[in-house]
Amino acid sequence: MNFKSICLFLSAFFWTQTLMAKVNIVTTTSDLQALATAVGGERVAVDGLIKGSQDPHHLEAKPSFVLKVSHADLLISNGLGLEAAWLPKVLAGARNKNILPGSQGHFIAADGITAIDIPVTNVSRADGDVHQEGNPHITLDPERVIIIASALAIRLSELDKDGADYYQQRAGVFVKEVTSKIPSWKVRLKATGISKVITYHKTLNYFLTRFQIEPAGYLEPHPGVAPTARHILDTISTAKTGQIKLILVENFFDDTAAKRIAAEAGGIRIKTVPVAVGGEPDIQTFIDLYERIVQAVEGKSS
Amino acid sequence: MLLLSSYPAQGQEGLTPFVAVDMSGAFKVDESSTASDRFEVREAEFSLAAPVDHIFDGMFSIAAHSEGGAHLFELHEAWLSTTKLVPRIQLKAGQFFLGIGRLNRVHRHEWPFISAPVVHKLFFGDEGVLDSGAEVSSLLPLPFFLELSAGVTNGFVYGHSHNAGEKPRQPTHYARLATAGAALSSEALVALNYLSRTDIANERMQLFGADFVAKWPRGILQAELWQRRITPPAAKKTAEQGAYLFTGFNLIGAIATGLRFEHFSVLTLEDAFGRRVNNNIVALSPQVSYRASEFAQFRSGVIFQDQTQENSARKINRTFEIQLVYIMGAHPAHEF
Repeated sequence: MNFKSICLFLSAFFWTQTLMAKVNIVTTTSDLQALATAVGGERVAVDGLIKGSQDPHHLEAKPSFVLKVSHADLLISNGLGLEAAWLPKVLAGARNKNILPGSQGHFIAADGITAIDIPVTNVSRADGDVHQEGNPHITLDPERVIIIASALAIRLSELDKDGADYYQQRAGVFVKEVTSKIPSWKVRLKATGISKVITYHKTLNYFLTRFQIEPAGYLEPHPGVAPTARHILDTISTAKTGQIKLILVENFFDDTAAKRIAAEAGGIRIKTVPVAVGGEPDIQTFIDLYERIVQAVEGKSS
Repeated sequence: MLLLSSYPAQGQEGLTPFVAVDMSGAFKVDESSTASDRFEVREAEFSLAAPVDHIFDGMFSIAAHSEGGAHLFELHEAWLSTTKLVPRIQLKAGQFFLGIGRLNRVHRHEWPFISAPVVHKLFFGDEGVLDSGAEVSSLLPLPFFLELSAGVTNGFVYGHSHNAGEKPRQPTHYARLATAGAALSSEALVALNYLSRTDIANERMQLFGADFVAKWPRGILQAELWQRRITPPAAKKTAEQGAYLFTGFNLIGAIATGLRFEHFSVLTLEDAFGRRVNNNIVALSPQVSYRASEFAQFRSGVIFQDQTQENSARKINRTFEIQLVYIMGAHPAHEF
């Protein structure tokens, strides 16, 4: 092989590599990982930081997070303070200026979303770990996920102009799939007759609100604070007077308090539910996730 | 390195104000103990962090320490840093805790135990070594975690000091190489450290160390091993070595337990005839902590310290310790 052949081979190799180069996406949550995969398809390589079975509030800036983010072309975070305790440290450690907040390489899912549970009065730490900007668990609402998918397709199109049509087409498919399921979920949830639910944390509020189910109480006395004996007694009272029939416990929380309330109040079902894609091994898509929560309200065993 | 303030902006101009108060007490369990029998505010720290402009982030903190019964605020840290000038590089300049070891890089109120291990006290002081200078660190562009840091500081003084010191022959300079790995739900970080300084009297101090931390959902394992060599201009070189190993475990809910084992020895201790004298400080410190939330924590523990030296009387020191830490303002950063 002469010099000219080697040069031709290397040129072809690097040209091919460039053509095959994927957009390297890192997402903070497993929900956003599923969304990036759905929209980005074959043109992206997606890695997530948080597993679906982990509580996203209480994590640390692990070196593995720093390493992944250091190589990212696009970082997708949830926003609304969900990652506030650890993402700044990860960003500092990663030393990747392309994905800092405000840059094109940092997509914040909540940016185009109307949040709920925004405190109407001044809150302090006495109220627990309240998110001033609103409830951050936006991906539990199928309608809001559709909005995020569309916005993500636009951002990916800006970063990878050659794939613009591809991203738009995939986002369209995703939107169509989720949209087609919403009416049947509404019908099924209405048929359960469940109008009020107690949950551990405010994780499910977007889902419940979307389907006209009232979050009637929480096992936490304040966000981020474990159930206390006094609060359990109060919640038993709430369950009795509110004729609560169902407690949904997010699967990364302990259900001991829920069992006590159910035993004391009577006539209450407890269901432990995944609240993120990947929260259980067979929850691989958003449709799997929402379907599982619908089934939990219906009382079907998973 | 308390908080990077560029995300999210928590107040006007992105300022993140932060107050941490660390109260502690040490009490004699037996008469031979050297504990102060006093509960007091050991440190009250006020910090501000914010983006300075589109390139730099700034950090400023003052702290009041209990010194002789008085609490006077003094400058703790004041530095400017950026990751936006050179790809994959963080540059920092100002006054800061030197980026070596484990405890020296973490503020005391964030330590997993109440008081410093013997080796840290002797080599870094009760809290840590801070100085003015510059530090550069890089996460190397590799498929695995490899972080290299190096810094140079004035070195006029070393450790916590209230005098201006004197210009050293060689300023304090240090380097740290860290790598990390993850398996299942656990993660570990290990680093090698080196520090050196030669003072005005031409006495050279060198520190060689390794630090390690591993965390899993309900526990932590943390260790440091240090050796200090001092080379005076006209005397024998001395060497001391110490280490600690701490393990903590979350028992249930807000309750956690911990156990620290430590050892310290002067490697070059000799008697009048030049013979090596065996000497050891060994300590075992069990503790229990209650964490009401991320922002308030109570901890108590006992230190059982046994000091032996060949041909000398054995010294046993038992101390009961308590600590109360609370944090106000910006959400504390969850440092690994």
